[in-house]
Amino acid sequence: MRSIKHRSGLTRVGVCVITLVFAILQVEPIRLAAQDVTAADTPASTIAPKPALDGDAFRAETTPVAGGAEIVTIFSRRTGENETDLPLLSVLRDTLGDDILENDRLRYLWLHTYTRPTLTQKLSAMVPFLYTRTTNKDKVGSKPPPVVIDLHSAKGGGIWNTLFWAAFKRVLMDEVGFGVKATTLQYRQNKGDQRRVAVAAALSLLSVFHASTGERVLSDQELKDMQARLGLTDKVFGGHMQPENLGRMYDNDLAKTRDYRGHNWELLRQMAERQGLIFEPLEMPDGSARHAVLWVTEDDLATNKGKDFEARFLNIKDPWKDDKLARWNGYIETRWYDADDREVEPQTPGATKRTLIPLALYGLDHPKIPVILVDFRDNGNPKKREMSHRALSDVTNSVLALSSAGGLPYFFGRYVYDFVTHRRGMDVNQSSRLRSYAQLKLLLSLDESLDPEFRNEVAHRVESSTLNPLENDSDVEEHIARVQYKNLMDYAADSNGLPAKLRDDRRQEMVRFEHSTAAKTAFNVGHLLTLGMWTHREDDTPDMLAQMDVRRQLDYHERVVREIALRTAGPEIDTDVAKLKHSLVFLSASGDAAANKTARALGQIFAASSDEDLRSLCLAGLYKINSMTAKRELVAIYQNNKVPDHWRDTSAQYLKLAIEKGQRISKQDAKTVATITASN
Amino acid sequence: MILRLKFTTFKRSVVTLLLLGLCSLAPSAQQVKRLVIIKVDGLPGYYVDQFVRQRDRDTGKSVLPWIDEVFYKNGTRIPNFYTRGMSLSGPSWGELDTGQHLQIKGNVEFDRYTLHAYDYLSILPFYFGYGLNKVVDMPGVEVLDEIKLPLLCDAFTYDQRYTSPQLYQRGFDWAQWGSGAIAMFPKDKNDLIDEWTLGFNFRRMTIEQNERDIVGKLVKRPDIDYYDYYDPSFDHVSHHNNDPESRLVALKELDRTIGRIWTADQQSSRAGETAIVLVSDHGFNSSPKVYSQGFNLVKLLGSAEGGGHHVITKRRLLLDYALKSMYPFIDLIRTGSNDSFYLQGQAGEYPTALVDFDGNERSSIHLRNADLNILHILLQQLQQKDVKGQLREAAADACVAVVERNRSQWQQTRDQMTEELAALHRWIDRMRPEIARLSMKKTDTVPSYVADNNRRLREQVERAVATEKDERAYLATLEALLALKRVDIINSKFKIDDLIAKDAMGDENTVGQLQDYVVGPTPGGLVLDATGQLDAGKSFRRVNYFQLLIDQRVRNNIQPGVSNRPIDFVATRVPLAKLKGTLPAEMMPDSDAVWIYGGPQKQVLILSRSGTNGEEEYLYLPVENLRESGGKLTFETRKIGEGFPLHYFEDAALNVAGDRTAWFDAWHTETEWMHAIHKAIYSNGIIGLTEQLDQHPFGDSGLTGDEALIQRFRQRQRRLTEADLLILASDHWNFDVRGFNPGGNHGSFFRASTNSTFMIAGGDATRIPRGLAITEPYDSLSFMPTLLRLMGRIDDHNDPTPEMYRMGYRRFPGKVVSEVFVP
Repeated sequence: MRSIKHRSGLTRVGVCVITLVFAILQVEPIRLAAQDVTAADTPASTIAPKPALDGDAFRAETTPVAGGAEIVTIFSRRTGENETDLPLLSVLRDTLGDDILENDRLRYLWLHTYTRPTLTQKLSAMVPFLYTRTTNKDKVGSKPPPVVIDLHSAKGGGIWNTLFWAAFKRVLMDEVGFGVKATTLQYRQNKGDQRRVAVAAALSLLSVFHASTGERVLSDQELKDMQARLGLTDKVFGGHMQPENLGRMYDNDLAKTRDYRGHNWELLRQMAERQGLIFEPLEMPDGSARHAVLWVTEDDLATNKGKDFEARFLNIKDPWKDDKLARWNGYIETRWYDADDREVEPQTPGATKRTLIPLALYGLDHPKIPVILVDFRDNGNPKKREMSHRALSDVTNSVLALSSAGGLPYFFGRYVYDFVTHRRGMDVNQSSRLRSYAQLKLLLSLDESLDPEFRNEVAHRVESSTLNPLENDSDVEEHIARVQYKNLMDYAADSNGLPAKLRDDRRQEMVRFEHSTAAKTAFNVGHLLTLGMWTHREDDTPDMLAQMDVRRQLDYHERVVREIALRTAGPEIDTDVAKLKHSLVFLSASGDAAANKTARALGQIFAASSDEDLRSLCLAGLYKINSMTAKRELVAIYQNNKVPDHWRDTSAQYLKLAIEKGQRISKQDAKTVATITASN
Repeated sequence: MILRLKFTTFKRSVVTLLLLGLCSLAPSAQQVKRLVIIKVDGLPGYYVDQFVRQRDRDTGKSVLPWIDEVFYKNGTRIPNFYTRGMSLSGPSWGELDTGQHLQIKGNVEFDRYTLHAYDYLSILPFYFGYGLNKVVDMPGVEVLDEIKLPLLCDAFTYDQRYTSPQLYQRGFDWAQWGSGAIAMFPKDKNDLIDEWTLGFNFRRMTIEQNERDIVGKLVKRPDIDYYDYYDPSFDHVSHHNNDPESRLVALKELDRTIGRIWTADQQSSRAGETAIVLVSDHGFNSSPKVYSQGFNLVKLLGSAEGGGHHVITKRRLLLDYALKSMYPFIDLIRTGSNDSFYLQGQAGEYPTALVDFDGNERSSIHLRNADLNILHILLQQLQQKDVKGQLREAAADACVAVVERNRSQWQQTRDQMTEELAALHRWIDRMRPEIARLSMKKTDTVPSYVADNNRRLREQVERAVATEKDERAYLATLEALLALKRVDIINSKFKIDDLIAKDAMGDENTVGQLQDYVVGPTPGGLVLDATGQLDAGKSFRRVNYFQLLIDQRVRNNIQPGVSNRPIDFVATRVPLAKLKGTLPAEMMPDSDAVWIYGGPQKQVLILSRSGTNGEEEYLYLPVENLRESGGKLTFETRKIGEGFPLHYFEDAALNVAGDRTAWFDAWHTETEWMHAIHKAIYSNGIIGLTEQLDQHPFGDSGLTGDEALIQRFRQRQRRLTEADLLILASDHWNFDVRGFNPGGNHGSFFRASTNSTFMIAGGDATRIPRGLAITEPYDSLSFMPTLLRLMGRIDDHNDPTPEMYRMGYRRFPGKVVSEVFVP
C-alpha cells in the first residue's frame, strides 16, 4: 500500500479490509480473456486493485407523496462517525396511487446541490467577462431545489427556444447598447452553464449508480430513460425524442462515452510514458476511471533536468525546466515500486522508494482529448483554456456584434479556426469541460480512498478553476444538498406544496383528452404571452382521472409495441411474448386513440410473427385503433395473397365491421372494403 | 426383335437407376444448392458462445436469440474453429475466401524493391477509383487474380450471386449505395427528426442495405445461388470499447440480421436446399477490466536506440489529430527521424524501415538490406575529400567486398527478372490491341459485368506496365552496382542515386544481418584495423534487433495482468539451407524453419516436414544463443521446459497425456499438434507461425514459355512482400500508432484472437445436422472445401470438379469438416 503523507490510518485500514474481503470473495478466479493474470504478472506484494463495483456506495430511499406519487432519493453512504448519508438526487414518480406499473410516470428530477443563486451571485453573473466566482450561497432558505429536468416533457434547449433566442438577439438586442446586450448574454450563458453542470452531475451520478450493485428502487428502463433524457437536453430536437428511441439513445451515448474514456485513458498514458511521467487513473465507485493524475518523481527531476519536453495533449509546463518543482513544498506522496515498476507495499524487499509530485489532473470523459482540470503548478492554466472558447464567443457576440449568420468572412474564419483547433486536439476553444468538472466533484465526494489532503488540494483548485459566479464551492454544496433535501421533503409533505403541484400537472396533462391540436396550440400561445402566469388546465374529475389512467397505459403499451416492431425479426424467438401479448390485449381493448405509428407497428409485428395468438391480437388491435392508417394496414393484409386465407378473411371481417361502426377510413380503402362486401 | 428391344430398354433403365442411386450416395447427396454466407469481421467464437448462453432478464431467452435458434438449435457449430496464420483480416479473409494457403500476409504489404504498397483495406480510394473508372476490384482481388487464385464467389456466375462490399470485393454495385442512402432517411417525420438527433449512421448505410437486399431477394430471386453479407461493426466497436454492454449492442444488431435472413429463407421456395453460414476471420483479445496499451514501434525505430530509421507506414500516425489525414489518397506516410546517423533530411528518398502494424497485436517490419546501408555509408564517406590515403583505399575495398559477396545473388536476380519482365512486356503488347477492341462502359449490348471484366483486363495491363517500369528502375541500380569499379570508387566517379535505389529496401536481411544490423557510421567515422583494412567492427554502429525489441520496457506498469514488456517475441524465417549441418538427420526439416526469439536463452525453432501420409509434421525445438555469423548458423539445443516462447509446455490447457517432455521431443502431425494445443493460451500458434512465415508456391507446374516466366515473376512479387521481422505483442498490448485501440486487438496467436466463428444451418435437403457442436478443432483452410463439398463441387480428395477446375480452382489443402456430412 502506498505510504501517503498525512494519510489517515482509518482510510488505510478501510482499504485493507475491502481488499481482504475482495480477495476472499475471489475464490474462483474469473477468466478474463485468453489469459489469466499469472502469478508472475502480479506479485503477491503488489497493491491489489480496488473492487470494480462498490454496491455500498449508495443507498436509495422512497418517500410517499400525497395524491399518489413517491420521491425516490439516492444517497451517498457516509461511514464516518457522526456523519449521515448525503442526499444527492431525487426523482418524482407519479404512480396515480395504484400498483399498476404501466401508468407510472417519472416527472421531476432534483439534484440537491443545484440551487437558485443569491442576488449577489446573479449580479455577478451579469458582469461581462467576469469569469470567476464571487460568493457562495450561505443561506439556503426553505424552498425545495429547482427542477433540473421534467422527464415527462423534456424540452431541453429545444428548437423553439433556440429560434426564439436567435430572433430576440437579432431583432432586439442589436438595438440596445453594448452594456445591456453584454450583461444579458453573460447572464444567459452563466445560467445555462449552471443547468448544464447540474445535468452533467445528474448524468454522472446516475451512470455510477446504474453500474453499482446497490439497491434497485428504479428499474433498469427508468434509469436508462432518465440518462437518455438528460443526454438529450443539449440537443436541438432532444425534447422531441420518441420514447421507443430512448433505448437507442442510451446505447449510443454509453458506447460513445466509453469510447472517449478508453481513448483518452490510453492517449494520456502514452503521452505520460513518452515524457517519463507517472500516470495514475482515478476510479469511481463503479470501477470506471474517468480521471487521471500525472505525477513526476523527484529523482526524475534531477535526472531529466533540461531535457526536451513535448507538451502536446498534456498542456502543462515543461517540468524538466521548472525551478518551482525543484523547490516544491506542496503536496507529495511516497510510493514503492518493484523491479518491473509495479507499485507495491511499502518496504517490500527489493522495492524502490519514489517521491511523487502531482503535476496535473485530467478528465477522461471528454470528446477527442483528455482535458486538464487541475494544474498543480498553475491554477490559471485550465481556467484559461476553459475561458478561451467562452471569451472568443463573448467578444465576437457582445463586443463586435458578429454572428455566423452575419457575414461570410466571419463565418469562414470561425469555421476554420474551430476546425483546426478541434482537429488538432488543441485544448483551446474545445467543448466545455463542465461535465468533467461535475464528474470530478462527484469523485471527490464519493471516493473515500483518496487521501484527504490530496482531495482538499484538488477540491480547492477545482473551485478556483470554475468560471461561473452562479456556482458554489464543494464544501458549501454539501450543506446546500442537505438543506434542500429537507426542504424537498417538507414541500412533499405540505398539501399545498408538491401534492398541489402534482395535481396541477395532471390537470394540465388532461388537456389532450378534451381539446384538438389547434386548441392546445392556442393554450400554449396564451401561456407564452402571459409569461407563464396563465395555464389552461382541466378539472380533475373522476372521469378525467380514469381517462388519464387509460391514456398513460396506452402510452406505455404503444411504446412496447413500437420498440418490438423496430427490432424484431420474429417475436416468438426474440421477444418477451407474454409482455407483447399483454400490450396487444390492451391495444385491442382500449387502443382507439393509438397513433398511426403504432398501427404500422402492429402491421409489422403481424408480418414478422407466425404465432396465431399474436397475429390475431394484431388484427384486433388494428381494428380497435380508430385511424385511417390502421385500416390501411388491414387492407394491406387483406390484399396480400401470400398471407394465409383465414387471416385475410379476418381482416376483411374487421374492415366491414369498421365501416359499420363508422370508424375512420380513407375513401379508397372504403371502396376496397365495399368490393369485399360485394364479392362476398 | 421387339422382345430384344424391350430387354435393352429395361437394361438401360436399370443402369440409369443404379447410376442415380450411386449418385445419391456421393457426398453431394447433401443437397446444398444455395449458400448465404454471413461474414462478420473479428467475431470470436468464445465470445458469441458466452452471450448465447446469457439469458435476457425480461424474456428468459438467450440475449442472442437468433444465433441460438438458427445455429445452436437448428444447425452445426464448430466452437474450436481457428484462424490459420495471423489473426488479421486481410490474410484471414484471403484464406477463407480462396481455401488455399496464405498468399496475402498482412492488411498492408510493401514490395521491397519498389515500395509499392498493397493496402488491402483501402476501401475509400476503391470507391473513388471505381467511380472514376480507374479500378474494378479491391486490391486483394487484384493480387489474387494476378496469381490466379479464384474466390468462392467466382464459382457462381454474375447472375447467380449477390455480394456485399468487403475486403475481397469483386466489382461494385452503386445501387447498394443509392438505396442505402435513401433508406437512411425515414419517411415518418418524427422518425426522421429522431434519427437526426441520434446521428445518421453512415458506416452502416450499405450494411443495412445488403441485409434488406438479401432478405428481399431470398424470396423473390430463386435464381440466385450465392449470397454474402459482410459486417465489420463488431470489430470496429471492439477496437474502441472493452465493455460488454457496447459490444452486446453490436452483437444484438447482428443477431437480428441473422433472424431476418433466416426468416426470409424459411419463407422462400428454396429453404430446403439453402445453407446459412456464419463465419468470421479472427477472434478478439479483450477484457472488460483492461485497456489494451499501445507501444510505438515507429518512434522506437526512429530513435537513436532503434537505429534512427526514416520509417514508412501506410497509416498516418495520430490520424485523428492530423490535418493532413483529411486527404485519404496518400500512398505512403513517411516519418523522418532526427536521429538518423547518415541520412539526415533524406526521408523522402531513403527510408530504411517499413512498418505494418494493422491488427495491432503484431507488426511486420522490413529493414533495408544491411549491405545497402554499408554501401550507402561508405559511398557517402568516399564523397568526402577528407577521406583519403589508406583509409580511402580501405573504404573502396570494403565497397567492392560488399558487391562481391552479393554478386551472384544480384546477378541471378537481374538475369531472372530481366527474363520475367520481358515476358510481362510481351504479354502487355499482346493484350493492348485486344483491350482497344473492348467496350469499357455498360451499354445496351454490353452488360455491366462484361464492362467490368473488360475494365478488369485493362487494369491488369496498366498495373503490369507500372510494375515493369518500377522493377526496371530497381534493376538499373543492380546493374550499376554490378558494374561498379574500384577505380571509380576511389576517384568518386559515381552518384549515390545511381547505385543505391531510392525508396527500396533491397533483398531481405539474413538473421545475421538483423543481429548485427548496420545503422550508421560510428561517431569517430571509418577506422582502419591493424592490417590496414577497414575495421568493420569499429567503423559502423550496429543494432541487434532481436535483443532491442525484446528488451523494451515501459515505466507505467499500472494494470494487473498487463506486463511492462510490450513485446512478447520476435519471429523470422530461417532458410532450410542454413540449417544443414546444424541438426541431426532425425530433426532435419524439409522446408524453411521459423525462429522465435524470446530472449537469449528463450528461443525456439519450429521445424516442419511433410510426413509419410503427406500431412505436415512439426517439431518444437527449444534452443539458445542462435547466431548467424559469416553465413553460418550456430545454436545450442535445450531441454524443453518452462518459459520458452508460446509457453506450451507449462500451459494447463495442453492436451497431452503422459510425459510432456517426451511428447515435445518428438515430431507430431498437424492433427496431433492441433489436438494438443488448440485450447492453450497460444492455441494453434505453431501452425499459424509456419503458415505465416512459410512460402507457399502457387500456380500450375506444367506451364511453359511466357506463362511460366510470368508465374515465376508473380511468385517473386509475393516473396518481395515478406517482412524481415514479425513482432508479436504481449497480452493486452498493441502497436497501433494511427490512433488508440484501448478496447482490444487481434493479430497475435493468442487463442482469444485466433478463435473465430464457423456455424452452419440448412434446410431439410441439406441434411446439415441440427443441434450439433463439433469438438474437433478446424482452421480457416477447412471452410471453403467444406462448403464446396456440401454443394458437390469437389470430390473426396478435395479435387474440384472439371467445371470448377476450368474456373481455376485446384485441390484444396484444408481438412473438410467431416462431421457435417451425414452418411
